[in-house]
Amino acid sequence: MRKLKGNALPEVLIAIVIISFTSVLGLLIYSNIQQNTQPFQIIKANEIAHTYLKETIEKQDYFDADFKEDDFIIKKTIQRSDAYPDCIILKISVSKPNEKKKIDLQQLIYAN
Amino acid sequence: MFRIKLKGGALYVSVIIAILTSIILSLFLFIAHFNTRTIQSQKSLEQLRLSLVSGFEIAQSIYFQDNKANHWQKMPYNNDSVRIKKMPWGCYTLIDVSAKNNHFFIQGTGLYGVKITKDTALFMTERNRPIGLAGKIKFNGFCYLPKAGIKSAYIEGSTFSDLNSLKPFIKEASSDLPIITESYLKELSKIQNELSPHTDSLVSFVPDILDNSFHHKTVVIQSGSVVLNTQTLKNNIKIIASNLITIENNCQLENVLLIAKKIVFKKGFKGTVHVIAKDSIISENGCEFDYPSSFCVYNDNPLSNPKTTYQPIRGIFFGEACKFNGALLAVNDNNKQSKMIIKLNKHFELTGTLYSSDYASLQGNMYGSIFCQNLLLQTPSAVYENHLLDCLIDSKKYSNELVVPNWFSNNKQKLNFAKKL
Repeated sequence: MRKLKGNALPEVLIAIVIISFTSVLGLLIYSNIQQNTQPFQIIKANEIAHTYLKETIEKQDYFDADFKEDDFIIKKTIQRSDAYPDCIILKISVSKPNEKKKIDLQQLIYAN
Repeated sequence: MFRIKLKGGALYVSVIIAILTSIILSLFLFIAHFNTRTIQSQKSLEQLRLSLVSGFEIAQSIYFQDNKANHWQKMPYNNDSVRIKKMPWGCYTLIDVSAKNNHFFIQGTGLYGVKITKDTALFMTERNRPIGLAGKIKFNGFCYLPKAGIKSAYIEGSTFSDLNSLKPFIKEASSDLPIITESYLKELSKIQNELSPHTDSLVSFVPDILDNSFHHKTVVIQSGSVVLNTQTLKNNIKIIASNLITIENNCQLENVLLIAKKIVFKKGFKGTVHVIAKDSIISENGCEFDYPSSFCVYNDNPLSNPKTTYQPIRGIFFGEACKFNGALLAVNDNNKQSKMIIKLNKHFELTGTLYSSDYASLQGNMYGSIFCQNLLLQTPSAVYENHLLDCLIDSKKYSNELVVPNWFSNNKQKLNFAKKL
């Protein structure tokens, strides 16, 4: 009689379960990391925010406005400061559609 | 043949694969965490830099009071805090701002003023007498002169005949000069007469070398008379003398504040200084003062013998071939107990602004704005009132770069940055 060597069925099933579980978990974690970090996106958003901040101050264009540039949505808001009424708070928010905010920049400006 | 007998082999393989996968995933997690932290840290620093700039903006607000100075205050839009120090430094305004958050601490200091008025070259008051011109005269900017206008004069063998070339620049003068803000004069008086234990630190000797940052307390050296001879003194240092300060030409001064009754700069001195005198400031031949320097003569103390009919002459006196980049101010007190004069000698070069509440003696090249009631010209042979000799006044050449002190109450301009310290 020939002896056939192999693995037991429960052993193989358990191995398959472990491998599939770790693979799915790995894929989920990796895709989450990809979505949340995207450092190049944040650097680009930062550059855009600084450009709009500088432009607003140079042109003294102190009005709320929304802009679009390179798939980014830029929101500019102006608010009077409570402690210093002759100063305004300029806020530039940059985000992508249907994603959370990439960057927020705020500066107080003397605008008598 | 090499044979391995492995019992339960599939399970072992799957465990090894699981371990390898988890190691790789941990590495990814670590890199992502590191990236996120770096980006968050960078964002925090960028925002803190903007908060520092906001501190400079707050310092210009009329709602910024002395009781808020030197205390940490939280920004209204996030958790950053700023501490603002604002004080006069010579004729300019010094603003020192510190900003901090949970991770970073940054500081910045600057001298501030306002952009020069590029249209005003010469501003005089109506005295019903014409201005006599001799030698090489050129205006580039409006000159507010008495109604009597300009005329040719013959002084020291030179005359000026091309009056028509200057007429497009001439406008009618008003009866008074623009007024220096009372609060500005009060600040000048305060800095001459008072020391503050919160911001000043008194020392008893003049060090040979000292560079004191504006983020620390001001080092104050106080004496009857002071002679500066080989010292190298920079930045946040105040030298106060009740009588005379003499500065030799081998002394190196940068952004230092000198306060005395009388101050003398010896021949060939070069540096950046801010000077406030009660009586006079004398600069011998060949001195050069870099931008932004400031000279101010102001005295609000009453004369010791007010009954005298003689009005002493106070002011700023330059020797020949001097250069000055900044602001010159000679202003009388309310009682007008003395006469003020700013005397610029031959081959003088001014880049900045000049204000004299009484007389100005102008010679050389002036790139900026001149404010004076009357002109006075002294030659070896005579003294001429309301005359100019060999004078160029050009308010436009450096108007984009020049920042001058904010003297006038009707000037609502935003403060501009003159120099980073």
